[in-house]
Amino acid sequence: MMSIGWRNLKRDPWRAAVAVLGVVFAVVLVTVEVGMLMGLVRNASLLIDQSRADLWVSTVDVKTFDFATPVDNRKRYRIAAVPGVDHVEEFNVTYSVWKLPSGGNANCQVIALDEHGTLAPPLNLIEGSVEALHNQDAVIIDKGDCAKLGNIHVGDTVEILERRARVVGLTQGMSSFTTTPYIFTSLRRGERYGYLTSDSGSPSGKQSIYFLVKLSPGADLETVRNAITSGIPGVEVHTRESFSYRTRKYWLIETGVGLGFLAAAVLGLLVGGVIVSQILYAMTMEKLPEFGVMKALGAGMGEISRVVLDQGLICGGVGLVIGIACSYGIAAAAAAAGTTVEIPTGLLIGVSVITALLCTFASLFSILRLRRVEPGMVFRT
Amino acid sequence: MTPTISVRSVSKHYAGGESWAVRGISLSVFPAEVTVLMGPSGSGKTTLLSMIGGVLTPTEGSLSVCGVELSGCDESQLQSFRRGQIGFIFQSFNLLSSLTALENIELALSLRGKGPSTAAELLDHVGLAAKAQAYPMELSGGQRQRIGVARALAGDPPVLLADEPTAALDAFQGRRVMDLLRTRARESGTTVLVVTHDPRVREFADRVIEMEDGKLKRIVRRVRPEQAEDGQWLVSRTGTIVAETAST
Repeated sequence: MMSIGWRNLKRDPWRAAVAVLGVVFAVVLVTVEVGMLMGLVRNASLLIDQSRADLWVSTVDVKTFDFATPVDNRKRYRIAAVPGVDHVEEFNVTYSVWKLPSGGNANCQVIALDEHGTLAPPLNLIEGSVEALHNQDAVIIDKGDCAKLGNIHVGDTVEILERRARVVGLTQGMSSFTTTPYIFTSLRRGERYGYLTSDSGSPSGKQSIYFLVKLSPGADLETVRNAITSGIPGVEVHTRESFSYRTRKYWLIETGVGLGFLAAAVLGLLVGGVIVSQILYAMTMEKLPEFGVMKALGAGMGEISRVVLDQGLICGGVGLVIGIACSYGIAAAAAAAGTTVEIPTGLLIGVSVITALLCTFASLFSILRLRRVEPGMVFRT
Repeated sequence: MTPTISVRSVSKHYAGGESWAVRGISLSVFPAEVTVLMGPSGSGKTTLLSMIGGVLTPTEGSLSVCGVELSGCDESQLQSFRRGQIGFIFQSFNLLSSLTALENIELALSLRGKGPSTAAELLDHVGLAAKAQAYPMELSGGQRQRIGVARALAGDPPVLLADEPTAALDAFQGRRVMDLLRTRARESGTTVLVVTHDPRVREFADRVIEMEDGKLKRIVRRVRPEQAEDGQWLVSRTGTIVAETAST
C-alpha cells in the first residue's frame, strides 16, 4: 500500500518540519551528551589504557588516576626484585601552576615520564618529538590546551611553578577528564615542575606517584601482583584494566558527573518525544474523519496504524540524519575548543535505535486514539 | 429475483439516545437496481444505510448482505465484509486530502487487494482522466463526488451504498453522478442503494423506500414500460405490490 503517512507530511510541510525539529533536538542532545561523556570517560583513563605496563603500582586506596598520593621512591627497587618483574619505570602525576602571559595562573597537571622508558603511554604528537624532552626545560602540551594556556606555540618559553619551561611539542587528543591541561615532561623536570619531594636526603625521602611494571615473558600476572602486594607494604597493585575501570567509575559514578550527562540526554529524549508525539497527535486529530473513511473502506488497524507510524518514522529518519550531521558539527567545534565529543559507530547505532523507538512510542498515543474511531463517523460528517 | 440485501425486523437504539433511530424495518434490495431510501431528516435513513454497510450493528433484528449474515459478525469480519462487498459514496465526498485523485482510487484498490492498474480507467470512466494528479482541494464539488464514485467502484464491489451523493452538488452535477450509478447498476448488475432527501434523485430509482420516524412508510417500485398499466409505479407497504398512478 502507498505511504499515506509520507503524503500527509508532504501536504503539511510546516508541521512536519516541527516534528523533524523535535527529533533533531533529541538526537543532538543524546549524541552530544553521550558523546561528550564518552570523550570524558576516554580521557579519564586515556593514559592508563594506552600505557604498555602490565601493572600499575600506587599507594593504597587510590580513587582515581588523577588523585594518587606519593609513595616512597625506594619501593621501586623492591618491586623490581619481585620474581616475574622484568623492569619498573616511574610515572608521576602532580598538579602544578602555569603562569599565563596575562600575569594570571592556570592549574595544570604535570605528567612526568621516563623519556628513555617503554611503558608510558605514547604521546600522540603532531609537532615535535619525545626525544625533544631530553632538552633543557622541555615540556609538551596538548594542542587543545594551547588557548587555555595563553595561546602557546611550540618554541615559546613559559613558567611552571616559577620555573622556566619551553614548549617543544604538541600532542593531539590527550586531555584530562577534569580538562586541566596535561604538561608532559621528563621525570627529572617533573620533580621541578610539580610538588613531589625529590630530595632523597629529606625526612620523607624521594617520592613517586606510580610505578609502571612490565612482567618477564611467561610470568603470571596475578602471581606477580599478589607477590608485590604481600611483599611490599603500603602499595596497591592494579592491572591496567582494573585501574582504568576504577578511574572511570570514580569520575562517572562517585562524582555524579555521568548521571548528570545521562539525565540531560534523557531530558532531551523526553522533550523531543513530547514534541513529536504532540505533532503526530495533532495531525491525527485533524485527519480523524479520513481515518474513519479508511476504516469504512475496510482498512484494518494495521493499515491505519501504518499511516501514523510512517509519519513518525519518516520524521525520525529525516531528524536522525540532520541531528547526526549537527552532532558532528558540534563535535568538530568542541574539538577545536579542546573538548572531546566521541561519536563512535556504536553510539550512532544506539541513537538510531533510540530514535526509532522514540518515534514509535510518540505514534502510540495517536494509534490508541485511532482505535476508538468508528467507521460510522463518516456518515455523520 | 434473489435480493442482495435482506433486512429483517431491524431496530437501532443509540446508547444514550431517547428514542429508536430505526424501528422494526424489513425490506429487500435487489441487484441491478437503483434503490433510493427517502425520508425527512432524522427518519433513520442513514442509520439503516450504516447498518447495511456493516459500520453499525443493529440493536435488534438481522441483516444479510451478499449472503453474509451481518448480525453474527465480529469487527474483523465486518471489516473484511466492507472491504470485499461494499463501495461507499459519501455526502461530503470524504476523499483523503493528501492523496491525488488517482491515489484515492489506488488506495481503495489496494485495500481490496487489487493492483493500481485500473485506477486510471476508473477515472476515465467518471470523465476525470485529466485530473488524475489533482488533489481534492483543487477540484470542484462535482468532480470530487465523481472521484468518490470512482473510488467506490474500485475493485467492482457488488454493492454500492451512497449517502446523500447529490446533496452538495448542483442539479447538473447531481444528475451526472446519479447517471453514473444507474449505468453501473444496469451494466454490471451492481446493487445500488442511495439515501437521499433530494426529490430529483427519484427519477433515477428503480425502487423507492420511504421512511419516517425510524419506520418504513412505503416501498414504491418503478415498472418497465411494457409492464406499466395505469402509471409507472407500483406501491407496497407490507410487501404486496400495488400500482401508483401519480409519479415522476
